[in-house]
This record gives sequence, structure tokens and C-alpha cells, in this order.
Amino acid sequence: MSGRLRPWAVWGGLVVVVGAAFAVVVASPGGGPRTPAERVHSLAAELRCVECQGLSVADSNSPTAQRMRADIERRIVEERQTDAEIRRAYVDRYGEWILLRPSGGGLDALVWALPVVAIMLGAAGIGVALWRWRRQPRPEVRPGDEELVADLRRTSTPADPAATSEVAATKATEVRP
Amino acid sequence: MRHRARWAALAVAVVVAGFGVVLATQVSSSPSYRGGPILGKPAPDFELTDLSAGAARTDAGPAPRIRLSDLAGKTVIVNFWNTWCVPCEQERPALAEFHARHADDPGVVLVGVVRDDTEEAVRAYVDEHRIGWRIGWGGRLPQAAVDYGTTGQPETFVISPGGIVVGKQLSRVTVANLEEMLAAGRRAG
Repeated sequence: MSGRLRPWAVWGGLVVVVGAAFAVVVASPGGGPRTPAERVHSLAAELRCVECQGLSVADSNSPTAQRMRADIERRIVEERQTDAEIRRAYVDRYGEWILLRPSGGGLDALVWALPVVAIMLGAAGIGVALWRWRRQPRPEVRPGDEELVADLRRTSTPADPAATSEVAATKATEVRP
Repeated sequence: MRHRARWAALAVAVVVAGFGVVLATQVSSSPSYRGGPILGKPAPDFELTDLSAGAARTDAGPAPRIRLSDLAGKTVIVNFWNTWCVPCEQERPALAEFHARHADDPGVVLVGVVRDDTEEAVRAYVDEHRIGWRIGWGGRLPQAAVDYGTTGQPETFVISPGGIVVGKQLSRVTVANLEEMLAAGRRAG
């Protein structure tokens, strides 16, 4: 068995790994938290604390954040609202600004699209670089090179290590410029 | 090679410009800079305890209440405030003058909703300054503060006689602001 992997095996392995990662992400639990408390925390983590700097409603202990958590709980427990309805209620009151995670509509889509475009451009750049690298001409084989390599291969397997190193040393001397 | 550098510079410029547009849009969509999405929508109803100086106070029996739904048909100015808020203190004379101007107008109601304070502090403040307009108390951070999408105080809303929010101001108000709000509410009907 040679230690060198074939190119199709490398690319195939890459595809399998990326595909498996994608499948794990897609198949991850998407039903959302089940208990009201988990839903409150999850939704509060998506909303901006209006009186804080860079904190979510879940992370802040400000009076407004506490009131908003209580309001989310009331909407879940008493009004039986879905997560989407609760998000919409807050957007209706505060605007899209209240969402820490952009909705993906309008110009907000750039926040999601730009990294994807950057990754695709980077991957394409790497692909082009590899393609050009592989198309580069191999070093020219000079007369005697093949014979030299064949001699080295022939002498690299004998049982006597001393003989091997002696031959190798001789050949190394021969190829030294 | 020079062409490549130009294309790279152009690409960088496009990306930077794109981020600039996004940032500018995010800033302008902050409620600090715009009227907010509540404008044009039905005003959320609220029911609060009336702590104003004119409200009857008895040790027995229920405290007087302020219900927005009871004020249908009137233009209602709702002012979220606190006793400890400096801009609120600065705008108090304007609110007092506006209230005095329209004290005899049955079509106008000024309601101050306490946003984040203690009942004792509010009662003392109302007594000290002889606040004549209605003061709504719903506890610290009442539900109305969230329903109206407030982010601080003072914040002032105008509700048309038809129950629609037609104006909003985030900074301290002047008498002229309040008169403009009243006119907008009446125009909306």
C-alpha cells in the first residue's frame, strides 16, 4: 500500500466531511425549546436591552429587561403566542432595531450574505490557485536523473544498512553540483 | 498587474461602501432617531392608578383609575416620566403651561405615566409641585412602558380621538411641541 492518497479520494473525503457537517447542522433540533422558561430565555436572548450597551434582554437585569421578560412570559403562558408572534409584537413596538439577530430582509440580508460571498470567493480563489499550480510544468528530467533514482531505489532495500548508507553517500557525492 | 490592483481596490471600495450603507441604515432605524413603528397604529390600552393631586384619595375603597379606553373621542397626550429624570424636570413647566391652557377643553387629556420610580417619590413630587394633570401609576416599569416601546424617559405620545398613535417625541417637550402634537391628533380625528 503506497502512502500517497489519490486526488479523487482527497476530494471525495472533503465532500463527505462537509456534507456530514451540513447534515448535522440541518438535522439539529429545530423545534425550539419546549418549556415556557426555555422559550422566555431563548426569546429574551434575541432581543436588545433598550437601556444597555450590547446586552440582550436575557443578559440584563435592568428594570426594563425584567419587565420585558415578564411580558414575554405573559405572552407565552397567558396569550399562547408563538415565538414568531412575540418577535413580531416587539418589532411592531420597537422596530427591527430590537432584534439582535437581523431578520435577513432588505439591507439586513447583507449581514448574512457578505460572509457567504466572502467564503465562496475565498474557496474559488483557492480552487483557481490549485488549478494553476497543477498546470505548472513539472521540472524537466535531465539525462541520467532517471537512472540515478533507479539506482537509489535499488539500493534502498538491502539488509545491510552499512552498505546502504555507503552507496547513498557515494550517490550523494555524485549528484552534488 | 496594475489592472488587478485597480479591480482589487474597486472591490474593497464596494464592500466598504456596502457596510457604510448598512451602518447608516441601522443608525437611522434606531428609535432614537425616528418616530418608531408604533406611529399610525392603535394605541395600546392601559389601566393605571391615578396619583394626581386632583384625584380623590381615600383609605377605603378602590383607588381612582385611568383607562385609555375611557378617553376615546379625546386627544390624549401620554407623557412617560420619572421624578429623578432631569429632562422630565426640565419639561415640567411646559406640561404645566399646556395643561393650564387646555384645562377647560374637554377634548384634551394630558396623562403622565410613571415609568421607573417609586410610588412614594411620585406622591411627594405631585404634592410638592401641585401637578394638576393626571398621573398614572402602574408600578415600576408598567406594562404600558413596554407596550409603547419606550426606551427611556421622557417620551411623549399623542393619541388621536380615534385611538391611533399619531406622534411621538423622545426628548423633552416644549409648549410648542405639545400644541403641534395636539393639532396632529385633532387632524387625524
